[in-house]
Amino acid sequence: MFDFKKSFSPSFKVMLLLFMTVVILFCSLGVGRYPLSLKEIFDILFYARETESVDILQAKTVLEKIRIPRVLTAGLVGCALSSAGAAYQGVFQNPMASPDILGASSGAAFGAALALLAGADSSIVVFSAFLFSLLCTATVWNVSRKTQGRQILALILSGIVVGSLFSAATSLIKLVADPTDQLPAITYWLMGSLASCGTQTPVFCALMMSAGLIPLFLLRWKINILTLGDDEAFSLGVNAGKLRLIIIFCASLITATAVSVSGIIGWVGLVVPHMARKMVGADYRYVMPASMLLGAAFLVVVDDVARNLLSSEIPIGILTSFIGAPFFLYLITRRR
Amino acid sequence: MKALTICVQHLSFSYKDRMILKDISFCVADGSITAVLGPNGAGKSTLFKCLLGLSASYEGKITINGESTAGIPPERLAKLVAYIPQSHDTAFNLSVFDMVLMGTTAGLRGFRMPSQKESEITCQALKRLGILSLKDRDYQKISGGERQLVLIARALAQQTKVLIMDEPTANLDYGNSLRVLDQMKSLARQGYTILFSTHSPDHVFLYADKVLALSEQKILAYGSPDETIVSDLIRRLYGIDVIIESLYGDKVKCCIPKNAI
Repeated sequence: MFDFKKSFSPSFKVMLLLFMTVVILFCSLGVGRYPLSLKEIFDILFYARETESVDILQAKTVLEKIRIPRVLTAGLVGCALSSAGAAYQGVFQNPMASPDILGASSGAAFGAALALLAGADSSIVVFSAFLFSLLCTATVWNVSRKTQGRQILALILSGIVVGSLFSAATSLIKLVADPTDQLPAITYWLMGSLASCGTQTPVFCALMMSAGLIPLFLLRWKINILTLGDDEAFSLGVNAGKLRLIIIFCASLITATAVSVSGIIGWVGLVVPHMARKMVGADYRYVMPASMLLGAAFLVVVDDVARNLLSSEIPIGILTSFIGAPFFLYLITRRR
Repeated sequence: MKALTICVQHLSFSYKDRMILKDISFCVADGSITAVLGPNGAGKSTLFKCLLGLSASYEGKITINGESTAGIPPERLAKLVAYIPQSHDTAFNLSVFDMVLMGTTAGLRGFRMPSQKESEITCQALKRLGILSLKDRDYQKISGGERQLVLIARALAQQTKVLIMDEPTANLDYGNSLRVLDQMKSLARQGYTILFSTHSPDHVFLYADKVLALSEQKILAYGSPDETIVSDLIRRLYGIDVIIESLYGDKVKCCIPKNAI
């Protein structure tokens, strides 16, 4: 049988993923209540500058005002959550780490809800989400280090505990929020949905996330060294403490940005890095770009389903949970 | 007279009011193998951690190749001394090649990735230990003895002349233990200076040029194995009565517990 795993080099597979992701992004532009063929999309994007046809103008509006922002946002959020998951897994030397399990997502949701309650604008919302996701991650990591016994289990348990603490705090905010405008806004974050993204959302995402994604991409070789543990990393010439801090900062920033535009979309950060490892191996030089691309493609596809499966849109967080939770069960029960 | 590679002067280390090392002084000659012998909790790992800069809050002075190691940045220290941990499990399933490639990291500034040059260093290190054939295997799926050799290869890829090995034969079977120790000996002949910890006086007799006996925070004895390891020392270190036998016309020595006879 043709062996995909051995026949191609990891860098070729990453290029293949890049190609696949671009194709998926393009095709997704055509999927929806108002279907567009690939040819139509190309025509509108590249030739239909001076057209007078009503049909094409209408299609152009759909594409520019709705489809492109939506698909790009889904891609960026997927890319962010997956690379944050891959980064957390590396620096915590723990394949079960992910933004939601470490509580970074619940922390970010609390931060976002708090800022919304105070009536802050969108950049303050991101900043607050970022601060609390960092606080939450730090707490979970410190608690898990102080526990006895298996570290993987300790990390998951302390993540659940700290995460539920923050969820309770978020519920408290919901209780006191103004039910006419604040409460619906907060509830929306918690469901995890891309439905309310506007034309400016992908621009905002790209700006905020690039501050975290670029360092993560550039530092990917050194994440390999961190997976060996602090003592070994240090004796190999890497200042583990400092580097870990930088990487957690970047991962928390992109998680917070993702949560602040899409709410909590669970499981992506856990599932996608594992799929990436299955494809390109465990070397972070390839795991990081593969996670970014695969995450973008994955969330765009899931969002296509969320938009089109039923007559009304399904919040995407529900779908990712249906995919992620069984996958998680598989991960914790499989044998080495 | 050979140059002194490692010099430790008046080294003391305490952790939370508990003294672990008290006024330790010794020097290690270039290209020699020094065994550190001592019961559990004697401070062997702490001594190694101080040498590797992992425990920075010690008193006293450590120099490697004439350079004081106190407070120097990790990428600099990694060019002076390499650490070979016990064969262990990793969180992710890296290949043997990647594992050894990581040894070259200290030479990579900032965001640089390993290039062709680093790959060649890696292949040479693997060849030197005779494990080039393991290159594409998964580190998690090879045997404990093979893992130990991979970790040694990684230290060679680090291109330092001083190797510190933490119980290189721990968890290894008889054959693998001897294979790893043989490699260690041949590296010393190629000019590497090696410091290793062990629990076996017999291994010290067979492989070490010098032995440093640690007990209760202090150096009990330091010298050539033949002169240093006597039944009295073993009793003081481990509380076991042994007879030291000389075999093959004084070529080999070994410890035999009195209870067994």
